[in-house]
Amino acid sequence: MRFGTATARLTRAVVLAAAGGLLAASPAFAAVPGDAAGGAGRGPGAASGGEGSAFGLALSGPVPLAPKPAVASAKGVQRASMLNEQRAKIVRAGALDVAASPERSQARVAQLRVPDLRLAADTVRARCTGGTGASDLVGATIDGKRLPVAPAPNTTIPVDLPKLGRVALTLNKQERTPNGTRVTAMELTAPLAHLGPENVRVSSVTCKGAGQDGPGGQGLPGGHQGRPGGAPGGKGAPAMRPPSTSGVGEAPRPKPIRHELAVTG
Amino acid sequence: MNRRAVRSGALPLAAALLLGGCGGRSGGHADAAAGRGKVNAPEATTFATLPGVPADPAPEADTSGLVVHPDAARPVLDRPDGRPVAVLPPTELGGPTWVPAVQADGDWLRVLLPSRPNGATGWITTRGGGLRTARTPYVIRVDVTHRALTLLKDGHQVGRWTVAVGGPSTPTPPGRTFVMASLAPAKRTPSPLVLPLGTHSATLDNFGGGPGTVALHGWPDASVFGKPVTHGCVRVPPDALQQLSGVPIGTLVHLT
Repeated sequence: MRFGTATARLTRAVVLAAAGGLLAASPAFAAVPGDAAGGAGRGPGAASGGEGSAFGLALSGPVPLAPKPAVASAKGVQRASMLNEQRAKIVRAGALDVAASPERSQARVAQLRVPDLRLAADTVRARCTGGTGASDLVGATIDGKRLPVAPAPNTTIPVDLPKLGRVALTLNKQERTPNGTRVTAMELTAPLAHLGPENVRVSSVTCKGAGQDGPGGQGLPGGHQGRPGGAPGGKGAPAMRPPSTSGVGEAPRPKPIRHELAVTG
Repeated sequence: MNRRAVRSGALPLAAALLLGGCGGRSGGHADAAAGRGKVNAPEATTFATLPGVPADPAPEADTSGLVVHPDAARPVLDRPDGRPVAVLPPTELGGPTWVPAVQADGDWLRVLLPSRPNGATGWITTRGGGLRTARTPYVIRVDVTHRALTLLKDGHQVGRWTVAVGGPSTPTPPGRTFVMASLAPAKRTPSPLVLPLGTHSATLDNFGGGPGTVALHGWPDASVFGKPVTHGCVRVPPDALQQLSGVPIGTLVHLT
């Protein structure tokens, strides 16, 4: 790997991705038992309605990739698998397996490579059971440094790469959600030159806590289960967490725009 | 969707509030979300109908006042990490887009959208930058039953006015919405300022060439105030319009 060309390569990859219509790319499905329509288009990473969810790989930023493979389940186990996923030479994975049920989810990505970041791993796995999660990394390295096999929750590892800049790497990222716990085995954000930061998430799962009835139920310790302003929260309604305004400035006074719109006078 | 019987172009043109011609855009498809890849989904504008978007989960609740502005077109998903259902453009009706955030989940915000169906929401990510956030201290409450508009700042009433609301066959639609834009029509009569909201008439698919957008605006004839005489809009007195002119785009509006 030649770092001197990393930024140029990534930029070129973005251009190639745009030209090729990234989102239209269709990875090869090896087997999708139990996934069917339930996996396609379902939102992983933040289950709702007491669901568990899981996905293997997702990108956001200049080169986006919707979570793949992705499953979510409110009852029973949903599984999906893929082989040889690759996006614009930024990231590739040899095998991805995910499974989700409301209280137990797992995601595993094997033979992960992010060449320009010199990131590689034999296996990256996240699992979540009853609201408690963990991550395992086997044979994982970045810039030649070996990464911990069983990282503590929310382990952050800053990495400075020549020509590319600071890469923020978080291992075993654990978040409370309105519906339970989200565990992401590996998340990294790297600058793509002037195009902005690219975010890569590998092996991410959610599951609800033991005894939690899903949205609107009792919150997990330390969770954010409040409802703003007496919001109605009947059974089945999503738990509400008001967006924080901490450190946020006041919204600007509007400047009327010379524009015509016929309204219902 | 079962749509109610719609009255539209048959309405006398004279009855249409000629606050200008139609905005000139129909709800189109946006296939470019600048800086965030291509998303084949419709733009979330007042002209669009967005199939598959989640409904407002708490249409009577207040929020923290957080409003967000995308620097570039931004995908809107049906849930965090879900599927794209719309694209939030950086401008609405020629001005900057600001929409209220009503819920947070990790790196995701659920925002109200200005499109049909009423109460449309969607999720946008805060990852990757390109999203400006601010807080509006204002809330607007329109009590349709009592035909009164109350302006609150930081929870305290700063003004209350008797207003005109929708008539029996064209009622002002209830629910939680927001100030979508601040427009200065070329003709200052009947109102020098129009504040379109992110909601639409439930009985009129279109009106006067527009998509049936409900708005707050002035009216030259004071005799209408206190009466249910409009086609869905809320007509307000001049001093109310003056105060409302300073309310930030994205400010929450409760129609009850």
